[in-house]
Amino acid sequence: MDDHDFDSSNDTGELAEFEERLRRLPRPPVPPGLEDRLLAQIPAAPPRRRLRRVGPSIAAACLAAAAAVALMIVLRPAPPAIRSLATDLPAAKQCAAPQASAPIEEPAAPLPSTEDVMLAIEREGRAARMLALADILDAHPSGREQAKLNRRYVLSAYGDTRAAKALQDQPRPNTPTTNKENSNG
Amino acid sequence: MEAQSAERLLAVRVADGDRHACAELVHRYHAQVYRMMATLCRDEHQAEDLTQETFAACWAGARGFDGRSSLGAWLRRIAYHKFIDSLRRRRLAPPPATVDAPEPVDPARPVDALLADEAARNLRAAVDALPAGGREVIVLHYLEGLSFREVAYVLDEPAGTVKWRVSAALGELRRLMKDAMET
Repeated sequence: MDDHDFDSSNDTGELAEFEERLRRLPRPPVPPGLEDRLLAQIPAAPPRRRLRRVGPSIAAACLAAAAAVALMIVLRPAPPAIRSLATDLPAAKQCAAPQASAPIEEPAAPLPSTEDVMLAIEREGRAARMLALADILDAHPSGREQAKLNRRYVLSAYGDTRAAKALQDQPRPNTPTTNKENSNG
Repeated sequence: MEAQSAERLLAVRVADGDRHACAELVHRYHAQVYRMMATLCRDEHQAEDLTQETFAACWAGARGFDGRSSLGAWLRRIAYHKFIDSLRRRRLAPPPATVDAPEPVDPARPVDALLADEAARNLRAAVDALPAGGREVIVLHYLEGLSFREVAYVLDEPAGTVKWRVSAALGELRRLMKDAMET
């Protein structure tokens, strides 16, 4: 007779009786003096868990704040002018150090003249200032047109024909700064 | 509901380091915790050590009692975790039985008493012979008198799984008893 037959052949009364026998099974005796030993183990002072909890909490909060600051620094977007100059400006590209991934055999680009470098620095500074000003102006409804104008100046200075055309087409109520590059392009 | 509130209040007082509350907790539950440990461990010294560890953990973590279960079930849950930890520490199977159940003998009916004692001893041996998982649920449900829900809380398993395990362990237990009677 297998387990299934055994189980199914027994009525519920027998099962209940078996369960009752289990419940009445004598329990191990409690050793004398156990309660006293446990009572002696009770801490005399309130547990120090609160202090212990406060320490790690403060440490965790400081760590989280430091991590957040570090993350903000790392993820802070670079100013648009710097981004565009780093990628678009031919003079800046010429001045930049050769990339680590560039092949060693590649002939080095000819050194730019001092005048070119000075011009690039000036353009970079002007573009950065104009774009930063555009960002500030954008925050005010009355300054949005001026911000748009600033951006067009910068874009046209770096060869964006659409920006240059828009700049020529529109009336020029405000010229933010005199732009040496615009006279060329 | 009142009993639950009283238990929660007792747990809060224990968490606040109230020595009287701690003493009350020991007085109420030390025997239950020790007996459960002794039945699971089958070693009275280890059972006593684990009982002490259980109450020490209780003093430190009484604030963790959330009232979802009875205080007794919560203590048994801590005790059960201590038991599992001890098994992991030893990395050994539970040692052979050294805890003797009391042997009540009625002088007026010595034969009946001896027969009853013999049956109880056989049943105890069968419980001890169960695999660990089956023994746990039998001990907690039948010997400790916990409901399926409370056993589920102690073992951190769904109540349905516990019911199935109890049923399977009961079948195995009856098979062991039948085999013992036949041999």
